[in-house]
Amino acid sequence: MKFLGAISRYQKLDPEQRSFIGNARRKFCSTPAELLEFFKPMAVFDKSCDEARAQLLNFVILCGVLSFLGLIAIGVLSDDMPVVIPIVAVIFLMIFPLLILRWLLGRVDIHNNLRDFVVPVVNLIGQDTVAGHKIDLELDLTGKKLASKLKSQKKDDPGWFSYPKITTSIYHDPWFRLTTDLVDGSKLMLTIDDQITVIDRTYKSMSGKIKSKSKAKVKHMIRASLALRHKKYAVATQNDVRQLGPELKLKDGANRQLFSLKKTIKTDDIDANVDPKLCVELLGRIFMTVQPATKKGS
Amino acid sequence: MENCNMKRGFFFLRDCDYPAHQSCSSCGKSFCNEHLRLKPGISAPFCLDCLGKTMQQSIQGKDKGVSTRDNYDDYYYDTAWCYGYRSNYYSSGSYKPWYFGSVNADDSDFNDSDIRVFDAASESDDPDAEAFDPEANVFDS
Repeated sequence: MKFLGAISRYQKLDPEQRSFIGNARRKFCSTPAELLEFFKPMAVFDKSCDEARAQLLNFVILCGVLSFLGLIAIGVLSDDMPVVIPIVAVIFLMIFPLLILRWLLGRVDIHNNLRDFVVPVVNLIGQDTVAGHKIDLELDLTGKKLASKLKSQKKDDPGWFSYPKITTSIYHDPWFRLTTDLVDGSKLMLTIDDQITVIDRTYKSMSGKIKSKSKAKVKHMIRASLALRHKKYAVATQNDVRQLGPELKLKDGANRQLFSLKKTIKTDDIDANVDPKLCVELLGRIFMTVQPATKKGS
Repeated sequence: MENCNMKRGFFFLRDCDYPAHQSCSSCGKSFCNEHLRLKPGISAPFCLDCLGKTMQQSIQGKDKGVSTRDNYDDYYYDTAWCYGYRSNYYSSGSYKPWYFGSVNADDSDFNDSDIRVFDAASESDDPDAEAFDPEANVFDS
């Protein structure tokens, strides 16, 4: 019974953590250790919550199948009906509390990006921050299709009883922003903006029935920016870093050079989490390209 | 007393300055308490590098034994995961970490070909360093 474990883990969360699960939006300014201490119990809870919900769904399906078989049995074993009917009734009635429990766990479920992206990235970046140095983190895991995130909507409606009717909605969800100083003196900014395109289509099928379909496409726009100190790294020209591709933007300052590299990932799954590897690779590519100041400058 | 043999960091490796307390049951090197954990199921001290590598094998399903991701749940959101992840990342060949310190190939898992070293002359502090430009993402059009 995994839901017991999930409930127990939820009860162990402190009010601040429960509040974060409820709001799913917050700005943090804490050390990596403090952030991990805050997120870890929620990540563990979220994993057990997902497992519990999957198990409850399996129970619901099992109860449904058993109830159906029970109804057949009632028909066949008409002599033993007094025994079979209560059993079938109990199995059937179990479906409702299981569904309610699953719904309740769903209400305290948080997007998997927290445990599969935010926690690993904070953990990895925390390895390269100066001890005790704080990370500025803005998170918004409230959902991608909220009305407040609707950027534009286009309706293609040919009129009464005319089909197809198509509504295209575009949402913008800037859900992750992390800024901090690294141990080499560089300043790091990681951002992820999701663009969600939802196409709702209502059409008339060959048989004349009116049907509706909804399709979503998600674009994760991941940007890693590093402001590298001139005293530490040689100033790079556009020609030096051409292997980073056209997605790189360079900006020179008096004491630092800013490298900004973008990667876009497309998916059809609106609930898909972002792989932390994508951020690590962007940063790794920048760090692999630059040269130490004295090697190149002298 | 011997210092901890762990190299901390991900993109930048640094020596750990703490004194070593115990040896890793896997690699035999000495580490400080911060860089040792008890391996689930065995309860023997493992360094974060060795534990992290075992965790990565477990996550990737290479370890067909008793170990599964569940065994390492406590460590999955812990520093131990980072050490396993960095081991995989470095061995993929796509990254060579920067190293702050002097490389001694005899004492370290890393040698000259694995890492890049900053020149000591570039280590001076830079108090006038320009602040992060919040407009950086402006050119994200």
